[in-house]
This record gives sequence, structure tokens and C-alpha cells, in this order.
Amino acid sequence: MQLNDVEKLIGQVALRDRAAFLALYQATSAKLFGVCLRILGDRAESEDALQEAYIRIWQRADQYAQRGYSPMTWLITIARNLAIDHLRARRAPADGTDVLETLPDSGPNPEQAALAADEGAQLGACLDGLDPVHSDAVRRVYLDGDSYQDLATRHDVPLNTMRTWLRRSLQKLKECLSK
Amino acid sequence: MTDTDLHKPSDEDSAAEYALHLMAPAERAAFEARLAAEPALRAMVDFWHDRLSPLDGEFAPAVPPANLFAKVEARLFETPARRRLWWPWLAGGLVAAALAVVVLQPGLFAPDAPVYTAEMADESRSIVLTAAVNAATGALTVTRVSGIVPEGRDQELWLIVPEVDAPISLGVLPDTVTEITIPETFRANLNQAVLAISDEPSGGSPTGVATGAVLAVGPLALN
Repeated sequence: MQLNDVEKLIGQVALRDRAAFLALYQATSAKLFGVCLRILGDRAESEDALQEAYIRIWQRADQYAQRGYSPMTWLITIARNLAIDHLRARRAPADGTDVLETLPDSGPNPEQAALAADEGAQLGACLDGLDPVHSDAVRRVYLDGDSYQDLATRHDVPLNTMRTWLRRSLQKLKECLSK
Repeated sequence: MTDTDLHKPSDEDSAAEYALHLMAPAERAAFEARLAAEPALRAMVDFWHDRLSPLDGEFAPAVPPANLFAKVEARLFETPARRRLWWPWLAGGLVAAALAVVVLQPGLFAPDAPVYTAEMADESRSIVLTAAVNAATGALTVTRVSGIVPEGRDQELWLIVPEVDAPISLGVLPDTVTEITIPETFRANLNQAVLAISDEPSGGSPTGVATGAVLAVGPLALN
């Protein structure tokens, strides 16, 4: 399925077309389920998050046209944000440190992490330009839904230090990506 | 300078944190309120969504369970939608019916065989039907005043009475004038009843519950 097909389907869903909604689900649900599984690492929770994602997609399809990026990115952002909400809700009642210790260390290995395709080349190069610890932090936030607290605990630094650190990394990254 | 000042984020920081979903819920809500009004801020957020999207390639696809879409549909369209479909209409109808009864009650009509009437119409009055029912015999006559039944569809008549949770199907209305008998069980409180018409597949709702849009509704009142 081409990206412009996905875009067309989102437009039809905005017009309350349920057949288009099914077609959109069939075309995109495996990717979105992959997003939920990566972040949550739990099938049952990922299924809940995925259901919520498609409910939100149905409800907000009419807002898609206002965005300036690809339809898949829009869909993935919805699923990613909901999965992260589940993750935070799960961690909230517990002591963050304990929960973190039970999580598998899913640090990317450089070969797997190599960004395919031309469009990824610049991002890959810019991430490589950061201190490896910092680029790893950006990737963990994006791909695993890590919070500032998760990163602070992992690197054993105060929360506010972590904030300053990641903000600086993101500023650097933006400068590089804007070249 | 306080600690908070030291770490106060710039708009650029906030935009990145919003795009990465790093904000706490309250902070997020406040930022969203600004986003709606500030296109420059929106552009900063979109920059991150767009430029980080190559990372999406690292989310490995996984096929969700076969029944998941049905669950999504059930949550969006089925039980809650059907129930909600009726109650706003019903609440209004019941108030109107109650008022009509209060106004018309004072002994002007024969108490042994009251006749209740209703007019069912949509807001634009593109569909109008009238109904009259003899409360003693349950004989109901429905007359189509305006509106048509589209080819391949049927319009189904529903009776909503206070003692029964779900609307009761009285059958489809194929003709200009349709005669129906309301079963005895449902005749006790016709003065509080509401009639409604829904759009259904040919032959009527396959499930016994309204599946299409409510086209017209009207409370029964003493005539």
C-alpha cells in the first residue's frame, strides 16, 4: 500500500466511512501493533493500546489534514503516545527503580540500528554526531518510550541534570538536521 | 535564580518534548492549548515528527489478534452507540408526553377507551408520520404524511415504554397506511410511550435492535 493510499483512507475515515476504516486498519495495524509491542513489551497491554489507537484514529481523522508530515507518522504517533501512556500508568504506582530493573535491557545494537533508506541517512548521521550516550538516550525515548526519570535512573544522574542534558542533545540534533 | 528558572524550557525544548511525549499530562494539556493558537509552535512540533520518522523503520510489524478490529468496532459503534441513539430522544419525548398528559388529563375523555396519537417527524419535516392507537384494543394505525422509503431499505417502527429497557419492534412500515396491534403486555403505560422510526435493511432490523439511524420520533399523547 502506498502512502497516498493511506492518506486517502484517512480522508474517507474522516467522512465516517466504515469500509475505509477497515481498509485502513488492515493496511496499518501490524505496524501500529509493532509500535505498541516495542514500547510495552506485553501483548495484552499492547492489544488494549492498539484498540485505543484505532478509536482515536476514527475520532480524530478529520484533524489529519492540518499536519505537515506523512500519514504513517501521524498514525504511529497516535499509537506511540497511547502505548507510552500505558507504560507510565503501569509504572506510576510502583517505585520506578524496581520496575526498571525488571525491564529487559533493549539497547539497540549498532547493526540493527543502522537507518535504512536515504531519508534516514541524515538522521543517522546526525545521531552519530552526538555523544553515543546522548544519541542512545534519544533513541530510547523515541523507540522505547523512556521518560526523563527512566534515563536519570539508568545513568544515575539527578532528574534535572538529565533534562538539561537531553534538551541540549535535541538542540544539537535539530541544528544538524536543519543544515 | 531558582532551580525552576534554571531548567525552564524554551519553546524549542517544549516542542521537542511534546513530540516525543515526554511531558506530564498537565504540562501537555497546557502546551496543546497553545499549539492550537500558535502556528510557529505547531511547526516546531511537526519538524520533530517529520525528521525523527525514519526511526519508525525500527518498529517491527506484528499482526494483531484476528478479533481486535471487531472489538474496536464494538467500542465505537455497537452497544454504546445504539443505546445512546435512543435516550436523548426518549428523554425529550417523555417530558413532552408528561406535559401533554398533565394538560389534557382532566376528565374530558372517555376513560375506558382513550385514544393516543403521536406525530413522528424529523427536524426538517422531510419525514412525517402520524399514529393513533386505541389503548383498550391496542389497534394502531400509522399514516405516512411525507417522506419515502428508499429502494432496498425499510423503515421500522419502535415502541418505547417506561417498563421495558429496550425499544420494542412493531414491524416495518411498507405502506402509506399500516395497521398494527400493540401486544397487551405493552398497553398499560401508553400515555408515557414514545414511537420512533429507524432506517433498516430490507425486511427490518436483522438483530431485533435498531441498527440504522433514527429518522423520526414522537411521544404518544391523549387525543
